[in-house]
Amino acid sequence: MKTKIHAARNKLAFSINSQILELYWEIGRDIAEKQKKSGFSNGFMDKIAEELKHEFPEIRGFSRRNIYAVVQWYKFYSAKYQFVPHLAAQIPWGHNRLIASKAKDIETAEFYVAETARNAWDIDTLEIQIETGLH
Amino acid sequence: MNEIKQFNGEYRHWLSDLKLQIRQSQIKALVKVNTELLLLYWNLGKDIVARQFESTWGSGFFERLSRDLHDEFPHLKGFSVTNLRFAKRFYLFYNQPNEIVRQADAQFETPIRCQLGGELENGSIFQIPWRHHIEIFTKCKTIEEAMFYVHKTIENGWSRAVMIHFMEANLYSAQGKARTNFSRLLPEPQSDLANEILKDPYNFDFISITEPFRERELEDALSANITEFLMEPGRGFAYVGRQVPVKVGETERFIDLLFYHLDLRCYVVIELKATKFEAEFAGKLGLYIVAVNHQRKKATDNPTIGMIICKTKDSVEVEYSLESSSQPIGVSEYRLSKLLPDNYKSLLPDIEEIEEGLNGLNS
Repeated sequence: MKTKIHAARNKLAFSINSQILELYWEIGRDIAEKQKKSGFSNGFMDKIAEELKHEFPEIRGFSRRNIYAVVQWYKFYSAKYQFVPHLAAQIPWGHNRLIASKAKDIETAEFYVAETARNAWDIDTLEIQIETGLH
Repeated sequence: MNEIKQFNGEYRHWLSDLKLQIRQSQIKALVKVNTELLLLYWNLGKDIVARQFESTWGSGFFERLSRDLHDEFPHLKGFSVTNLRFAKRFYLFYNQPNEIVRQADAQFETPIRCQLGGELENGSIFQIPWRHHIEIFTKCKTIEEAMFYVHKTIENGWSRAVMIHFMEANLYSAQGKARTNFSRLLPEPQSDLANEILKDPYNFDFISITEPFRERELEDALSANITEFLMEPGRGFAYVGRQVPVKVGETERFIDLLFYHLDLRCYVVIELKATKFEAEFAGKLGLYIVAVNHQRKKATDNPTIGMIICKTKDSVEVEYSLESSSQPIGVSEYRLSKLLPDNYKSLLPDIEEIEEGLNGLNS
């Protein structure tokens, strides 16, 4: 029984994680496209963050900093991908955000995503790995 | 200035679509959790019945199982004795040897055999939170009646209270046996039902996500540290348990830590918070003290003492609560105090000691 419970929670964790990342991808894309089309300044993102934070106060993901990070993450990967890269969807948002902000190119990022998934690095370990520039 | 004009028209429209999309995503995620939880209860009930644990173990079985599951998953409140009994009842209700049952049963059995983790089966049963289900299978007489309320709830997005109201008004007999083949993939985002799924503590709890999880992580660490501190030899504290269930009114609540003090001969209830102290904590502590006094304390024990420890990044606050002997049982006016009366002073760690002991803890 315990195994079943652990398995159920595990399955859920991955499933919900990908769902969140898919949502962020769409939010990132919407904002990036709006910016490009209408030439909005950063004030636009601030406004969105404020509105979302107001509507969903319990969701940390809509802080101003995180909205910026979502858009940056989207822009980073959309150079190569149309949808959330499959492997990236297997690791948590925090890790994704860190990698996209520090990796110098997509190839490097993909390396870190794969290593994170393979070794189940916690975010501190991941940061150290990136800083010490393995790749 | 162009920006501002554009902000209004197209932007507002887009923003409200975005908000809806986010809501739907939330609901979708939580319906997934709800589904897993219901499947788990179903399997639990099935196993308990099929393996006839009760005849082997007798009436203590549920207590034992609950304890074992609590040990492994201390924060999962869904495995209380009450809930485990309900899980069995849940399974038995829908598993009657009967034609119509096979349809309900199929909704449960199919997803289990289904390989895909992604899309939900159209099983409407999964969109209803556990507590709605409890009402349904304890109060309905037939599966037909149960499915009637299941469908009506989803169709109309009923909250639990509203559903109960209609069940008491016997809507089923009034509306006849007309079955709707109505099927939604997800509850309506603005409905009461969606709200109940979103706020359901059993669901949040199960996956321990977001705010409650972070706080719980901290509280876990706090719990481990305080336990270690209090169990140092010579302090006189005997460990009884963590996340100890007690009945408070109609509900079941969980005491963070329960100790028994061997010199004072009384229980000590400890409430831990990874946030700043708030006035309402005093009331909560009071409830727990009363509960322990009624449910655990023996006549030979002294009145229970409470302790609340609030630890934030910057500070630790500790308060003791001692039931004033002039207070009748049941009045939850417990005043917290940093000052211990003399007869307790030498026996209980004082506030500074605790604060020092915990200040070394990284948060």
